Amino acid sequence: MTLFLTVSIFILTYAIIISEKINRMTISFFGVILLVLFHVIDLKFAFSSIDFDTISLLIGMMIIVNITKRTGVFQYIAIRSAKLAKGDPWKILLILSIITAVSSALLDNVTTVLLIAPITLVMTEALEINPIPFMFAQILSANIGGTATLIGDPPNIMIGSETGLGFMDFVLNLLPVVIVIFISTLFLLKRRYKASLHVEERLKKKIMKMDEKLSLTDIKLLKKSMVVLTCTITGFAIHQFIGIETATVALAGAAILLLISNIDPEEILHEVEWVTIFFFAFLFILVAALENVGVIDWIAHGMVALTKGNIVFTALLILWVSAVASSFLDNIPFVATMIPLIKSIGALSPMNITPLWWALALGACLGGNGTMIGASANVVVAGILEKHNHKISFIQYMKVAFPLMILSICMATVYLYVFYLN
Amino acid sequence: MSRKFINVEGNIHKIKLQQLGAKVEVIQGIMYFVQMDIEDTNLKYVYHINDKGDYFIQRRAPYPINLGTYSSHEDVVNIIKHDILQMKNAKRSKKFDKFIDINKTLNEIAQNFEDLYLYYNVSGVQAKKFDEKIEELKKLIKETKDQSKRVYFEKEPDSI
Repeated sequence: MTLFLTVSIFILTYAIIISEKINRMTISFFGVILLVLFHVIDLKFAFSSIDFDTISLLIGMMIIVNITKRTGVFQYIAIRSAKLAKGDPWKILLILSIITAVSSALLDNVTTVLLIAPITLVMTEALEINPIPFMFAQILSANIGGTATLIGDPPNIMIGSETGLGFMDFVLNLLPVVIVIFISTLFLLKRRYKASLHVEERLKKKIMKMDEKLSLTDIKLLKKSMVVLTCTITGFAIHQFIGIETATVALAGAAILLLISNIDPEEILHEVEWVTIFFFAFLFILVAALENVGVIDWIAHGMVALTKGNIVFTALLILWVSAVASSFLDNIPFVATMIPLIKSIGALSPMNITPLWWALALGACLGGNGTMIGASANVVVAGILEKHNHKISFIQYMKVAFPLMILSICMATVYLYVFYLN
Repeated sequence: MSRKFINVEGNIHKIKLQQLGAKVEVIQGIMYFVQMDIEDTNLKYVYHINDKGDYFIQRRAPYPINLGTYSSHEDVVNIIKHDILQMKNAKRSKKFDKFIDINKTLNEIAQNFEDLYLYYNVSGVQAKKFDEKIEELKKLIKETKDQSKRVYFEKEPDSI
């Protein structure tokens, strides 16, 4: 009966999350409460199932970003770069894509596009040019850039937290292939859009007239934020050597910045995405309940039987299934379920499961590029474009992005095979 | 409009207004305080973005006035831009300070009148006297408009 109830509540909750009929946090909260009400789990078990490392890392980074963005530094960098490009639309697209990818590797993808999209729209309006190619490039860059580091995308944060793999492990193992995928994607975008990105000289002058210094609102705060951000990123890079968690680094950065910025914490905490944080917490509980009744072990047995313990087959299966699933589904619940599954596979077979984590990270993060609903950044950018009378249809997006996503997964396949599975 | 889209809209306003030279303060992502100095005159505007995506703009200084309700960010930035340009233009006149004083007095009168009918039982005869004075003032505005040279052409007047 417990097994039946757990599986039913889990499937029903995930189905409603996928359907997007009800807010994903609300329905996962409801699913958890049903599990408690039916005595499948108790509150003590629920609280102990929450991965507070992931939650703390997310909260810490959200606080740092919310303080830093007040300084206008992101707009400053974007305007300065556009002026360095002398108002040339293709060069602006290229530079904004690089800024987006780098920012995404260090910050949350959605936060990055929310910071870069407004300045992009102001620039495309000044250039009297269609913003769609620019925003397309930003979606792809955000998802690709986010793949490179432990803190770049929620799936990586969850993998890092559950496996003990550190920031530099992610950088050393994922950054090389991410750079190749990013360059290839930009090359293909250039072939597709370059011809349409021409504007008159008088419009380029509008960009040159923009004053980046006007964006900087608080130089003192900017200096403090940059020092803390640099120390935080350095902390991530060396956390394994000094024996502290990435979550501790992020929380320390947040605490120091709150202290030295002297900003009302109520204002900053108001901007933390609590709905996302609670969604993560409830997902951890749902997956732990499923694990508790043995379902994850049962699926792991099935997978080991199917792959016969073959590491190449298992890794590529995880990579491709994750990529296709993440193209159409929310990758956070998918990864939350895959993590205990991969751990169980490791326990059931003698294979070294480390490459499986890279396969999961690459598949879940890059797969998000496949469709308009594949990642939160895509949904947000599509919504912004629609508000600005530039609607992209699901098919229109997929025609461009799905082949690029498949290409990136092919590259990831070659990379994994050559460096980890051969 | 979800909070994320409100933030994006707000950031677009912020960038455009900053490029005009204004200082923009954002309260909880929805209230926008815009400030700009023209020599020794301080212009202040306030508006908020709501979930219907329309914007109610008010100028707070040098004297308060309702600048209207608009549905797009372009309209908001444009209306503030025109207001700043008009103020800059008016500032060149030697009568600028007088113009500000008269506007402040008109605002005070509106406040006095509100207090009058909210706190006192005003007779019909007295109310009629106000009507007559207001009609006189309206005629004076029309007469002054007809006798004066127009100096701003970027936008049509909203009320006369």
